[in-house]
Amino acid sequence: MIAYVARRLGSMLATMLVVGVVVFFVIHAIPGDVTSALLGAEASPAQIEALRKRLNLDQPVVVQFASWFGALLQGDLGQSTYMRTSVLGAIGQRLEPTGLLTLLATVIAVALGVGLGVIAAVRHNSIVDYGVMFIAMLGLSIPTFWLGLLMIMFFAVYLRWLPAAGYVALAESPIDTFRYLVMPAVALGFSQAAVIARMTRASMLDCLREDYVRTAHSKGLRRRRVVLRHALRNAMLPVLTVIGLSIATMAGGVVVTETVFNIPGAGRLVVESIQRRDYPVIQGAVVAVAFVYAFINLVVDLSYLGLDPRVRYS
Amino acid sequence: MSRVHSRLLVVSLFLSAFLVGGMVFGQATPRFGGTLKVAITGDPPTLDPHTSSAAIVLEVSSHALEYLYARDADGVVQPMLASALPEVSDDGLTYTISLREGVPFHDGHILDADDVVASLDRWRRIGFGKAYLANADIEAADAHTVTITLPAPIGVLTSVLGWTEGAAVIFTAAQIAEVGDGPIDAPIGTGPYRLKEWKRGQEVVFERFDGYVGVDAEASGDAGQKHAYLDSIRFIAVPDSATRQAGLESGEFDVNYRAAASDLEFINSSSNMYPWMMRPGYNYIALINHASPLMQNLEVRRALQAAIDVYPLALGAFGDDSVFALTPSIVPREYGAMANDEAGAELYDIGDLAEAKAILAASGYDGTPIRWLTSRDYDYQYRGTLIAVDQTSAAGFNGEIVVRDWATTVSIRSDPTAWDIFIGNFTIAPEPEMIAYLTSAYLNNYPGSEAFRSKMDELSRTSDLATRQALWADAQAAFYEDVGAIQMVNAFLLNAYASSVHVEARYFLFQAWNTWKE
Repeated sequence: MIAYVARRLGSMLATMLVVGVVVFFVIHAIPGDVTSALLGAEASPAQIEALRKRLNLDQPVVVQFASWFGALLQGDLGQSTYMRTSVLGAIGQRLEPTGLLTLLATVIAVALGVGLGVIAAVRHNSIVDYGVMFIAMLGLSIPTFWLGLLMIMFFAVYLRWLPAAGYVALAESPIDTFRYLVMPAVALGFSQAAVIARMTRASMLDCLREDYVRTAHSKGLRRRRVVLRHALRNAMLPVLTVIGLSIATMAGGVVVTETVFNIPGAGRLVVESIQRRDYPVIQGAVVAVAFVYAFINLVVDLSYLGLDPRVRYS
Repeated sequence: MSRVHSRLLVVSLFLSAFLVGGMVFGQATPRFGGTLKVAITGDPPTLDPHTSSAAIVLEVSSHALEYLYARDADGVVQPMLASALPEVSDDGLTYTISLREGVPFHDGHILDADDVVASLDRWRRIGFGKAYLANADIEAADAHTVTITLPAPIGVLTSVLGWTEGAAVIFTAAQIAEVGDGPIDAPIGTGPYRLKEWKRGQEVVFERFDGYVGVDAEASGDAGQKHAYLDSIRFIAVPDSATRQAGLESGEFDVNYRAAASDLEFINSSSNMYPWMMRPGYNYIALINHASPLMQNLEVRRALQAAIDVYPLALGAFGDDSVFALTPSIVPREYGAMANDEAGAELYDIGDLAEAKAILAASGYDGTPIRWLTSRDYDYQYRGTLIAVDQTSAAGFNGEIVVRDWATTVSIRSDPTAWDIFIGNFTIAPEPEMIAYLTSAYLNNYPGSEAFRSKMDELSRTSDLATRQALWADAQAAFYEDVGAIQMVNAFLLNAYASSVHVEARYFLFQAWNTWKE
C-alpha cells in the first residue's frame, strides 16, 4: 500500500515536470508579452524594448527555459512579472477563495446530485423521476456564466438578499464569506449536480435490482436502511469516480465563476495572467493545477479502499 | 384674504423656505466620513506613474501623489506643489521653480528642492520626461527653488509638468534613492490620501492623510483645493463590466469606473445612480502605419479619408452618441487655447463614396488588402473596425481584418511590417507636441510631410500663445492634407456614481477628493 502511494506520488512529480515544460514552450510561442500590460497601451517602442531587456525577455527562449527549469527543480516557481510577488505566494493567497468555492460547490453538487439521483431511482418512472431528470437536463444545458449573471440580477440587484460580487476572507467574517460564495457555488455546482444525479440514478437502479437488495427486503429491513445503507453504498463506486471528475471540472469552471462574481481566486489569476502574458504565473499555476488533478485522482482511488473491501493496492 | 389666512400663508411660506433651504443646503453640505468603493477595470500594474503611463495607474496613484502644476477646469496650468508658475528666462533656456513651503509627505518629511530634483531626474531618466529633459540640467538653487537649464527652448515644458498624463509626480528623494528605477509600489507622496494597503489582484486602499496641506485656491479640474471628505477609498479590481454595473445597482459599489456606453441609458433612467462623463477623454482615430508601403501612397490615404463616414462609425462603435463628439480639432476644446475646429476641417468627416472612388482610381491601388488590426478585448475598437472596413470596401478597397487578443495586438503594432491601420483611442494633450501620434518616434512611424514637420519643429521652440496658435493651425491643416491619421471623434470616458455620492468639481481624470457620501 505504501509502495503504491509512493509510486503514485513519484509519477505525479514526473507529470508536473512534463506539464511545466510543455506549457512553457506553448505560451512562449504565443505573440505578445507582459510589457503592454505593465507600460500601458501607448508606450513607445523604445520604452517597450527597454523593459523587455530589463525583464530578460529579449533572451533566447532556450536560455529563459533553462533559467526557469533550474529554479523549478529546486521548488522555486519564480516571481510574477506583473505583480512582483512570488508565484507561490500569489497562488497561495488565492487558494482560500478558490478552495472554498470549489468545496462549497462540491458539497452542493454532491448533496443535490446524490439526493436527487436516489429519489429518482427509488421513484423510477414516476413524475418525480421525470421531474428530477428535467432538472438535470437544465443543469447540463445552462452555462455557468449565464446562470451566475441571472442569479446576480435576481438575488443581488432585485431582491438585494446577497452581494453581487466580491469576497470576504474567512478570517474576517465566516458568515460574510458564505454570503459571498453561496451564489457562485450554486452556479458552479448546479451543472455538476446534474451529472452526478444522472449517474447516481443509473447506478442505483442497477443496485436496486440486485439479489442482495431483494434478500434485504425479504428479511424485513426497513426500506430506508436497504436503500441508503446497502444499495447506495454499492452504487457509490462509479458515482465516486464521477464526483472526482466533477471536482476537476469545477476546478476548471471556477475560472468563469470567479470572473463573473469577481472572486480573487486562482482561476481568475490564471485568466488575467494569460491576458497579461505573465509567464511565471501561468507556468506555476498550470503546474499547480496538474498537481491538484493528480492528487484528486489519488484520493479518489484510495477512497475505493474504504468503500469496497475487495479492492487492494500493492 | 382674511388676517388668519394671510398669517397662515406667511407661516407656510416661511416654513417652506426653511425646509427647501434646509434640503438644498443639507444636500450641499459635504459630510466627512465613509468609504468610497470604486470598482475599477483591473489591478494596476504599479502605483508609480514614472514607470507606467496606463490611465489606471495615473488615476489611482494621483490620490497619493502630486505634481508641480495641474490644470484647472479651463485647461489653464496652475501651481500645485510649486508656489507659482515658473520664471522663464528671456532666452527660454532657464526655468526657475519656487516650491510651496511646509508641504508634508505622508512619512512626515517636508517637501524640499532635493525631492523635486530627484523626482524630475528619475522622470526624465525612465519616464515621459525623457522627450523633454533628457539633456537638461536640473538643480536645487536653494531649499525651495529648483532650476532647469535647457540646451534649447521647449515651448511646452510648463504644460508638460502640469499634465497628468505627463506623470511628472514628486516622490521623496529618500524613496527614490531606496527604490531606484524599479517600480515604486508603496508610494509616499504629498496627496490628500495615503496608501494604506494594496492586496495585489484585489484592491488598493487609501486612507485620508490628516496632515495634508493643499493649495489655497478653489477646486477646479485637477487643480485647486482637494478636500478629503472620505475616510478611505477602496479601488476594487472588477474586470467584468457587467459585474461592475450590477455591483453599482445592488449597492455593492459606489462608483462604476469606466461604465459601458451601452449602460448609459439605464444609468440615466435610474434614480439610484447618475452618469459622469469625463471630457475630453481620448481621440478615437484610425491610426495609419506609415511604414507600410501601401500606406505610403498619399492618394490611398486620401481615398480612405474620403470614404470614412464618422458619425455612423462612431455610433456603431460606442452604441450611444452621448459618449463622443465629432470634431476636427486634434487638441480638444476642453484643454483650451490650442483647440482649432477650422484648420483642415474641409478634409474631416468627408464620407463621400464618389470622391473616395475617384481618388482611389487615380492612386494606382492594385487591390492589395489593407490589414486592419484590431482586438475584441475592446469592443469599440472591434466594431469601429468592422464598420470602417465596410465603408472603405464600398469605395473599392480590399480589407483584411486581423483580430487578436490585446497582448498580441500590441506586439503586432510594434512590428512596422505587420499592419496597416489600427482604430482605437489615443491619449490627447493640451499641446500638440505632447500628442504621441503626431511625433515621428511613435508606433505609427509617421515622418510627417515637410509642411507639417517644419511647423511642428517651430512650434516646439515657441512659447508665445498667439504664435503657437497660428503655427498649430498651419500644422493641423498640413496633417489633414497629408492624412497623418484619420481623425474621427473625441471619445469621452463614462463613470457611473451612486446617487448618494456627490462630486464637487469637474475633473479630467478620476479623482475621489472633493467627493463625499451621504
